[in-house]
Amino acid sequence: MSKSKDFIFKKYDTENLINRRSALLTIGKVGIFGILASRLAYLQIFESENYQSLSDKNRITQRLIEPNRGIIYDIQGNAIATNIEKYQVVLIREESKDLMQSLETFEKILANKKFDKDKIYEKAMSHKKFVPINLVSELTWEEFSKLNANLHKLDGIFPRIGTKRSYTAGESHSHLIGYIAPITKDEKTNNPLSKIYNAKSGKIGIEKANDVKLRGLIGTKNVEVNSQGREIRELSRIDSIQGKNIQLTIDSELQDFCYKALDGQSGCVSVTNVLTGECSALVTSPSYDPNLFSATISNSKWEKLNNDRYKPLINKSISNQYPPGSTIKPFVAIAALEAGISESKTIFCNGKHEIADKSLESGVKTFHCWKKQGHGNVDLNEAIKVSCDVYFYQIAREIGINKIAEVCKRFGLGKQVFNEFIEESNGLVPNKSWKKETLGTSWMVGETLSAGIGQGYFLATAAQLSLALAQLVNGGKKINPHIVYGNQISSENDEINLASKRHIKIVQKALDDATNSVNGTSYGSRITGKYKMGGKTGTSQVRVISSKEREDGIIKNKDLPWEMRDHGLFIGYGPIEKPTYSISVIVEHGGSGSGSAAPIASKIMKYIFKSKVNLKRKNLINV
Amino acid sequence: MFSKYDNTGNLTFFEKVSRINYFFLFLILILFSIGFTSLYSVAGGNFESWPMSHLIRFSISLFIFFVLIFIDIKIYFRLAYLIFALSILSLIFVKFFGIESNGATRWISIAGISLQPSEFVKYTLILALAKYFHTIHDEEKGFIHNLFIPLLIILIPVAIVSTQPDLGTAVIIFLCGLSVLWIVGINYKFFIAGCIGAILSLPLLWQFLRDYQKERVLTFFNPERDPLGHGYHILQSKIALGSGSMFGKGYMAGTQSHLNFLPEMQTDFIFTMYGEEFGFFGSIFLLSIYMLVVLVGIRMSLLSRSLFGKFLSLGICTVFFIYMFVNIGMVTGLLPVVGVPLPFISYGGSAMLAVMMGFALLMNCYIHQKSILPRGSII
Repeated sequence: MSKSKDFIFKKYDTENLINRRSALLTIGKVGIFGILASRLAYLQIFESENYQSLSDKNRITQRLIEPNRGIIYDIQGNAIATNIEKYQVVLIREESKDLMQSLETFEKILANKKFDKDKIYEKAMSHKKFVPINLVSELTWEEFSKLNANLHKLDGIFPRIGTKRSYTAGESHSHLIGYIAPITKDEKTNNPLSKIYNAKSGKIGIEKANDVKLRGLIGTKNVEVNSQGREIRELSRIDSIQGKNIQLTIDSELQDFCYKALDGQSGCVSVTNVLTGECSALVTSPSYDPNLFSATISNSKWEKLNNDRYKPLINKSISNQYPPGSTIKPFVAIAALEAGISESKTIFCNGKHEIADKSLESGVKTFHCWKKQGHGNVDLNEAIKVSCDVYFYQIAREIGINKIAEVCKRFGLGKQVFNEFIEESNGLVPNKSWKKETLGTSWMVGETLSAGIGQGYFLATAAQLSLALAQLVNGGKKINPHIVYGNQISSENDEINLASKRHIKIVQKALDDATNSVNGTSYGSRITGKYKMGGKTGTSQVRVISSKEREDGIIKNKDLPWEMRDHGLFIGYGPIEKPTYSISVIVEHGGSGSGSAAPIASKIMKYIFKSKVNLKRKNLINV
Repeated sequence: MFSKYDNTGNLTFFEKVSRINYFFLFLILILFSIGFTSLYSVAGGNFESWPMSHLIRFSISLFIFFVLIFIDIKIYFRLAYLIFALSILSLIFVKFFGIESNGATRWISIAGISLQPSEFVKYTLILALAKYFHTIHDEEKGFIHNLFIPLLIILIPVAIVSTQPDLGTAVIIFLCGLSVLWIVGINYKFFIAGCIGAILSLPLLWQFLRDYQKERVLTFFNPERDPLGHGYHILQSKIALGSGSMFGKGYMAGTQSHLNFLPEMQTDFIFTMYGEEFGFFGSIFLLSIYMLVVLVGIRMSLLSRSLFGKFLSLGICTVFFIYMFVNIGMVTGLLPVVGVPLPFISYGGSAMLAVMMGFALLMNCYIHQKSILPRGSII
């Protein structure tokens, strides 16, 4: 090391400078250490709470749990709307090694299912890999078990069991129960279930009217999710609460019987318990498969139902309004008795009634009785029994439209019966002020005459007619019509405001005679045996018969096109001695009340007498 | 003044072994252990993936470390420029034959092993600068020799790396170079002038930045400006650290990390996960270990008798410190997002090997602290 002397670095100044610089650098580093430490203290101590809540917001997501819908029972305790398992198949992309391969195998196994694998493939690729994609939403049990047996070949395809609404009581209940469908936009504000994807709500019928009760309460679960939204685990849960079960006053067997009695004709039936106000049957024919709307309905099916001339989608028993025709006569009779007309007063019927009408060339307008040759001398009892139109023209003219309207309203016409269905109609009981307000013209005498036989502006639903009759035959007791058990308001001592109970007796006797004595309009449909039925037919015109046609001879209903034929109506009750049920039957364009509606009512009443519906009730709900 | 260690060129192997600073080595082992444990958590309790190869990489690096510390310091001194030149060449090689990922070319693959030459150039630059200043020191050289040439040496790797593009690493290389200039005693007025100049030229520099780089800088100043885009990473990182609170969420129980709200958990953002699971005390503990490594390193550096050793060791300590500061500064939202690993903790082979080789040089200087090196320039 000869040169060592030159190599040794001795200059103190330089050494000092380097030490000083190092010291400053070290101080700088310690300073930065301090900054980092304070930053950590700021984040992890002072702002910690804030960040903790942000972290929870990141990882905790609230998921909603859909409640099961309440079950609907009939009066006998049979479930008529339930929730059943539905068999679905889902695809989870991340569980599949070869997506297309799995889809092809699936296609082979369920060869009969319509299935677009390319579309599903695209859908799967466009979603996050852990999101289940619906392959087929509904499978039969056979298909489902076939799939389960082949599951080992189906990579990434999983069977799932969901629930769906099932209507078990058949077509006869379709209109009554209605159906459910996905919640629409305008329901969003008042249906909490709208927050759940694809949740359904009642759209019509009982399902709609009682939707709030049936829907139940949403449950929630807090789940921990990762940044992609995948559920890692459940943290807490508040279970959903099933909707309330409801029991209807409807007797499912009777409902079914009524539907069969209509035998495919376009019409409706309403059966009311005259003592309690319970609706025992509310039937519309023809109908549709009640489970039609629980799956997606095909366009062609929909078109077919919509264009059917029998209008199977409409609940005719409460939505359709018909001119009541002669079925109004018992109530006009009550009005007449109250107005002081004696039941023994006779009127001569020569087949027509004329009133002065200046607008006509002849100066007279003629109102015809259904019987061209006339009934001769008729009193009130006879007039109802043979349904004499002239008698009712005369007394209607005497007592005036306002009196008729007032009595009809008292018995429940002109307003909704159940007041809970969106599809229910009001009917129409016309009077002078109504016409002035609505049509802006004055009431005319001729219109009073039409009203006296239930034609003209008069409109009623089947449900209204059976209710009105019920409140007549139960001795004038006001009943609260209802269809959901437990919904009735106690009204024990409420009476329909009647001038005299005797009036009711007189009319009731006439209704008895109309069915059970010879020459009565519905004598052909009488029930023989221990219990008897009373009732009144009605035939309401849907067309104007010209005077020329009258001269040539009125075209018979069977020669007219269906749409032009008269509606056939019948209102009845039984048993005569102790009235328990009232019934109204309407057969659209059925021709005549006695020919079309009365036989059906008779059949149904017979069934009621035989089966004693009332004994079979099994109340599920304690009121 | 002349002890038996005066000329240490002839130290025996056992003498060298006895002169190793074992406390320093122990600190490194602690850091590695924390890294290993953290990666085990990142892997969700899976030893096979990251923890395993982290261990293997550390073992290889440790082996190389021990090989390097026994080589005589004079060899490094002699080969300093050559080593620097080689590492510059490797950077140029990356430019043409590198592997591209995420729009940047930073890697080369040699015999199946991917290496990132920009990780090594920080140390070779310091090696070259240390030799340069050792050589010219004490001679009354002018501005050109004292400032211009060293700056040129620094700017070569900075320029190449910034075109990769890897602006973050380029800035760090530049800072490492500057730290050596500071240590050797360049007049502080130059530093002040440089700072002012840099601030004034910022608008000009802004024009040269790429769009994504501008985004990063803007996001840094206001992370909430784009919480789901560019600000997402830093926001999630702060949430993770902050929600870790005083004592943390517990080992392997970090929700931000294990539910994938954190990006790049095994590399750049590993401190975040560590901080989330071990809380403020854990963070401070780790930070203190780093600081201890730096302080012990500085103390070791100052014992070097040769200027080369001093400059080299202090430079290496500074590189290590800058790594730690930039990484933790980034994940706590103090600095913009730049891809800098946390030494010994982050998963990454090149960084691990580079830092261990750097520490090998530091340890080498410590072992050969009494060595006397020639003044003449030997290339």
